[in-house]
Amino acid sequence: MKNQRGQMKIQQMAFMLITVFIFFALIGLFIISFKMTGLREQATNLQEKNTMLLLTKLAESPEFSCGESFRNTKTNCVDLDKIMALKNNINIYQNFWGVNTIEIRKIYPEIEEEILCNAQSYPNCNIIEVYSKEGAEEGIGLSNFVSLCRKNEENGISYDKCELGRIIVGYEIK
Amino acid sequence: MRYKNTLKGTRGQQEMVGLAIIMVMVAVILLVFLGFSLNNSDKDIVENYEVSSFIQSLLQYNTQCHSDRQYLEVKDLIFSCSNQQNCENSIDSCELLNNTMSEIIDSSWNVNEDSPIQGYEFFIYSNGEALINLEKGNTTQNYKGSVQDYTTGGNTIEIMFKAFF
Repeated sequence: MKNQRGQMKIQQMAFMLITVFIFFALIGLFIISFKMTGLREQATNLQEKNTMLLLTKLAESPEFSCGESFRNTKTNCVDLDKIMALKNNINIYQNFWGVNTIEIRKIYPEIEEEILCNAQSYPNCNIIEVYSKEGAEEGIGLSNFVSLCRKNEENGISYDKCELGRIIVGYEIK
Repeated sequence: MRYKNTLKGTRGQQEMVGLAIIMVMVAVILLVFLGFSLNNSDKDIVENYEVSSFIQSLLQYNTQCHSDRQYLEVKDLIFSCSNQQNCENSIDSCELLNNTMSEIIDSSWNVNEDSPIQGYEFFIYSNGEALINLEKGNTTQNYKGSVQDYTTGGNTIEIMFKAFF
């Protein structure tokens, strides 16, 4: 009788231990899954911060900047003529910037419809798809204002023409 | 014997209540932790760099004002307006400045009820005197703004832009 009661007590304790173990294991699983989501979010946030940094310095990089090509030295300025040349050799730049897409949109003066820039439509266009990563899935885009400058000609005289645009950088969601 | 059984039952009930209390406490702690984690979003609709880049790019825009075989940048047009000089192609510099600024801001910042941008304020001061004053939409407590100033020929120009969201 005493033996049986002892066995019952051991069973009770074992059952209790298993219950407590399962309970804490579930909590552990919950925390781990939550942390994993947090890690993904952190990775996306980090990617976002890197994209922001890239965005603020992209217009000053040698591939994009106006440099000394125009009458006054300009900051936060993209040389559109240079960009059109870069667009033709963009294959060299695969994975160079570590982002999914780089696009430039003219904001002002406004053009009613969206016209993609290519050798035929330039400069009477408003969207330049500078770079697109091969096989990239859709992501999030961050943008910043830039001056879009180029050389224009009127009555045989060349002059600087700077317009207003946005540079949009797309990055992947982790 | 009956007394012993009642005692056992009470102890069992106490254990169950104890376990329930622990479970409730853990659940509450988890919920508080979850709540704190979800509230930690610090993303803004407008970033600081956007506003300062906007002013910088705006100042470099080439207007329709012709002078010295070039089309004047907004930066130079502000000086022309401040000094009450008209353009070579007989355009009133202040009128052109006002129209251009208004059009550029409206194209760049979409202000309406459905948009996250609630309104904007844009001022240009020349030696402390208001040259341009543009406002649209509502002013709110949340805004990002930037000020840029520069001096040429004794004139101090101050440009201020605030985007409300």
